[in-house]
Amino acid sequence: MRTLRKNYSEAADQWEALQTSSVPVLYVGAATCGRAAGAGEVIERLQTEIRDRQIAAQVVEVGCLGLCCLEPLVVVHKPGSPQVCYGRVDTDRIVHILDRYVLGDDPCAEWALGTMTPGEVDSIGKFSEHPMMTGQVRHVLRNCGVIDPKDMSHYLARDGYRGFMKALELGPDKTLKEVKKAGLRGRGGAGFPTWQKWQFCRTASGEPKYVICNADEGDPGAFMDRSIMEGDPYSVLEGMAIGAYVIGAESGYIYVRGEYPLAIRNLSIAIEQSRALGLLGDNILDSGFSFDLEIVRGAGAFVCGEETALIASVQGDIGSPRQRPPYPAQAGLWGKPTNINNVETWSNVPAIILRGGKQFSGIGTKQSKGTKVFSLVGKVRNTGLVEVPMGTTMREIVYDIGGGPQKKRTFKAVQSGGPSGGCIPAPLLDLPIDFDKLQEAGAMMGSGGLIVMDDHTCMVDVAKYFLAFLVDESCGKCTACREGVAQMHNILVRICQGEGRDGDIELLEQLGTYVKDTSLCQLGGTAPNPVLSTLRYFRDEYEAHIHDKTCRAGVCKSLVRFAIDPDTCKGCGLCVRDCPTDAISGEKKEPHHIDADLCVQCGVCYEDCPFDAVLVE
Amino acid sequence: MITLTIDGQQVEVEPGKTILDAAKSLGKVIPTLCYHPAVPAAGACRICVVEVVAGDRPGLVPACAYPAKEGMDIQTQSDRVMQSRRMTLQLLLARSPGAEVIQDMARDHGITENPFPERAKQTGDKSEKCIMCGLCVRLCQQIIGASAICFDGRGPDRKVSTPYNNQSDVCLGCGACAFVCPTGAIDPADYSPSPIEKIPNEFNCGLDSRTPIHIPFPQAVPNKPLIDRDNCIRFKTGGCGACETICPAGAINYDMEDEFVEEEVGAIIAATGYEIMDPSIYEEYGYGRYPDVVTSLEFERMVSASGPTNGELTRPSNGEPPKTIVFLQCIGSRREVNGKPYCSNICCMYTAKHAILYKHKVHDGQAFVFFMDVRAAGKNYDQFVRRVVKEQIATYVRGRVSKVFARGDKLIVRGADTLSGTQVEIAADMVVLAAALVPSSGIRELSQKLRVGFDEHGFLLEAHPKLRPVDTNTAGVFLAGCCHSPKDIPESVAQAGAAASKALGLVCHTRLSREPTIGIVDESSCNGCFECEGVCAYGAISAKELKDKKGNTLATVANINQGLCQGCGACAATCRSKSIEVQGYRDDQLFAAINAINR
Repeated sequence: MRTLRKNYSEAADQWEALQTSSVPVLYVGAATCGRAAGAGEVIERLQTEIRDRQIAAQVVEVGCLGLCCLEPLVVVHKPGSPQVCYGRVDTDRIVHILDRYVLGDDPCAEWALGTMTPGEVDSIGKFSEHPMMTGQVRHVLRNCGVIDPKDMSHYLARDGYRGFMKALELGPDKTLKEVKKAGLRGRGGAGFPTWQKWQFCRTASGEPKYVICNADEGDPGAFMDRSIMEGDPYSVLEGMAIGAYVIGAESGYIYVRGEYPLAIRNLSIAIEQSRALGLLGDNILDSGFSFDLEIVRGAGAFVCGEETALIASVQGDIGSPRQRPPYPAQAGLWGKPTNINNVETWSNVPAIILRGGKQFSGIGTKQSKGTKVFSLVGKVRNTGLVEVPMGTTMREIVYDIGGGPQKKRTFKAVQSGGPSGGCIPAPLLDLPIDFDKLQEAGAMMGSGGLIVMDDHTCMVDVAKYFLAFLVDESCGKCTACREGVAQMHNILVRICQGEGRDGDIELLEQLGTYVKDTSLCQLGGTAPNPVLSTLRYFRDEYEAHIHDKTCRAGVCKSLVRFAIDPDTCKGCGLCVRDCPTDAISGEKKEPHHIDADLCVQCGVCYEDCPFDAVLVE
Repeated sequence: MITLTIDGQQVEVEPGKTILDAAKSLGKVIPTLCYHPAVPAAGACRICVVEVVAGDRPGLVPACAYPAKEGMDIQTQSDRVMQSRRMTLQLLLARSPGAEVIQDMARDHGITENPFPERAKQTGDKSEKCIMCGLCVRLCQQIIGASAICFDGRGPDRKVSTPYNNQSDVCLGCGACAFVCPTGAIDPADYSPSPIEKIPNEFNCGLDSRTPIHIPFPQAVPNKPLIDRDNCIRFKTGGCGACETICPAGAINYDMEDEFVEEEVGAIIAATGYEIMDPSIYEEYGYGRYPDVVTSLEFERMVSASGPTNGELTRPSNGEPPKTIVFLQCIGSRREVNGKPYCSNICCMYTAKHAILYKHKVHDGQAFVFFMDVRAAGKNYDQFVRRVVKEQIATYVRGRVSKVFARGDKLIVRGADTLSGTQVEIAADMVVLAAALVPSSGIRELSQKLRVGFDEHGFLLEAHPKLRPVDTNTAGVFLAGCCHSPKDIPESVAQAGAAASKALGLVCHTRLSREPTIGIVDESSCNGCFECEGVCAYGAISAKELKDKKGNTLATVANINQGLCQGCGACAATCRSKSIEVQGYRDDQLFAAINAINR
């Protein structure tokens, strides 16, 4: 077997050269999240400045570090100094940083988030001690934001593909045992033991076999997989190669949603580079094992995240699920045994093989091992991607890492697992998060979306929102999901419009149980979860909507009237400025007043008011 | 075999069978909508859910699409199942309130009210009955292989449509989608670019349609269905094959071919029946131009209880019962120019019968008969016709019709009443033409095969009009029914009986006795020229090889089949070597007779 020794040593040299570069190196987080915040313009500006002013500096585009609320992020590495990470770097700030720190000696401490390598610069603290980073264990995201996702030498220098090579040495049996020892469970939502899934497919009769990476990340507010694919695409390929080796598959597909063009680009580059090195293709490294990959772009259907629908879509059929059994392990793509794992699961594999399953299983809880990446979004101070060991409590994530609710609001609940998941209310904040605990609480891990909600969030409205999403995304194949979820949504719309009736709650529960019980696929089976879990923990809000015709959170327009508390109002005029219908009037520094006839209950003043003087009547 | 328990009863099924199959073998009825035995199941409508209690992951599963597993314990009527079914039905009712199947099922499940509002205002359009079960889509794609129907959109907005919402140019117009649709929501015309060509039902004169698989006519022998290869999707495209999947007896075999059967027989009875001539050649009657002008044969099917309208007499143009009907006699018969000079023999009687049948169907209707003269020769025939006239079942008008034309939605029949010498016009709803009887097509080929003569109209010739009306000139070939001449049923039955006894008279003996006056060949002088074979009208002459004791062929000479030879003497007259003579009329015998007279 070839060992690629030369390539590794070259890669290590290149990496070392970058780390000890004689000129300053600026790493810009240029994943989709960074670009959305303006990283593209920052890079452009940076390159123009460097070129025009002939500054000796190098720019490297890297993936996402996960601190989305602080994007764009730029890490500056000056020779002899530690790497310093800056947040919210816009095109002006980057010029300041260039002038003051790269060319001068002022490290711009006011924008710095922390130092990323040993050493001290001014009074800048360590990046790892940044509130959003404490408590995080970067296992899957180890390379994200650190390496250039388009440069394979970076990945190789950081032990890339060593897990795969070790697997080739170990043989499929021992590799599978390692995965079993690790206790890795599927990160796509259901948490099925990965080794067992592989085993099923491995022992299933039928040739050829296939492996598929499910990268059809469709939950609103979830972007873990995208970040991994954009920041560290190689780890996904390596994980798939290992899985294919264990299962005996010779070809694989990565099913990426078309809305992820950058991920598709980076994956394509990674595939090309891996092929060039002989890590994909026929007779890989003379081991006798052949494996190659193809990217399939999804056309934007949430339901294609369901494995049978995904397979149908890869085959060119309508992305509709089919009744299981047979499971894909028996009859999947083109009727052949197929193993599907999601991006994060595949990405976990290389390190497990390289460092051993034992090391992985040392992290986490009894039943859920390792770490989990969550996308923490919603009404929380720090939003972004966080990777924490299984068993971390929701409080730690929301309050310690997330910094708690924004403004002076009170935390109400976290929606876990996207539209198919459920909410976890404040009393359950100390729940250690793992697959089983979340399920018990009526939510689910899902792919890892966490949406934080505060007292300005109406839970009926949240349920309505998620159901509207699911009505849109239902494939319409089975009656239960197509008609049932739509009728549930109708009822919620009615309730939010103040037309709720006695018996609506019971009907919702009845319908919810029915849809859960009767649906063809898991999308339908979990579709009522947003309603059932909010009913479980926030039944009083439903009752208030139906019986008292009030929405305490001030969200459901038909049920809300806003008024200004004259005692609290400072007359700052912010609401007057933002009111779209000019319904608010008042003298400066005098209490303001809302004209109920003009007010359209948009809620802008309610959200705006820094003193919480706008009240919901 | 797999053993599972359904509602406490054990049942064994083959591996690969579904829970529904297992339940069926126990005689249990599980309601289905999106299921058809010939189409791969999808489990889409969820009406067939049953509860797995043990033996597999517990919960509700669709019986139609879920494989039976060893040790499964299934409940088909548990509370959980029934609640789910009721909810499914309520949801489907909200979507398609007009679907009768759903209404019936809902009633059977005790649903009296629906908590869900109707999803859209109903306009009464057929497509509103669609419950999106997708059976038609799967059928068209996976069985027919045409993929002319598909889903458009997703979720609650899903619709059954054609690719890109265009009329589908791949639609075969087979109508299978409409056939399987559980709620009757499909009109194939919506999908097909060209008009759906229905297969005319030959037995009903094309007045209705039939499927490619059909039994040709009631009481057919054998009374079994056959596949019409010209219209079968399987033979046209190689797709479908649904009948093979469904047939519990495994009787479908696409490789079967038509075959020639050879039988050695002692007698043949020709009974090929008749056809009626196409009256559209007489433009004045408007047949083929006006749908309400029909032939008497079509009328016969229309009033038949097993006919296209199940015996309900309606105007083809608008489906209304015809209040005035006119029967025209002698259409093509007794017509020297551009017609048949002979009388078709049966029209007078069946027209009288049709008039009576008409009155049975339309009590307040008025019937008219235009006739030349009524020929009712037969036992009680005249009385029958007189009854129709006397009881005013029909008004008989003696005269011919010059023209039938449309005015409004009426047909105006203009003719002469020769008894009063006036012209009459009748505004009719329907006109029935008693078209002339003609022999079946192909009778000329048959006559050549049988070596039986035919007359100028194609009817087969009897051996003698008075003395041998059932025989033909070819021995052993007999005639029965309308292949001989237009006949009614009693006459046909009588002739058929006679023909049968004649045939039996031939074959019941071990030896055949014949007239002795037949040709004989002098084999010693026959030179094998076979001129005689060509002139024999009865096909009685064949070649015969003369062999020595060792089996070597010495000569090939003519041989006369004594059973076929009629003693006409044509061969004797033709034979150049004078090797054939007719027994009893040999030259020497004739000369001896002449000499005796002269003496």
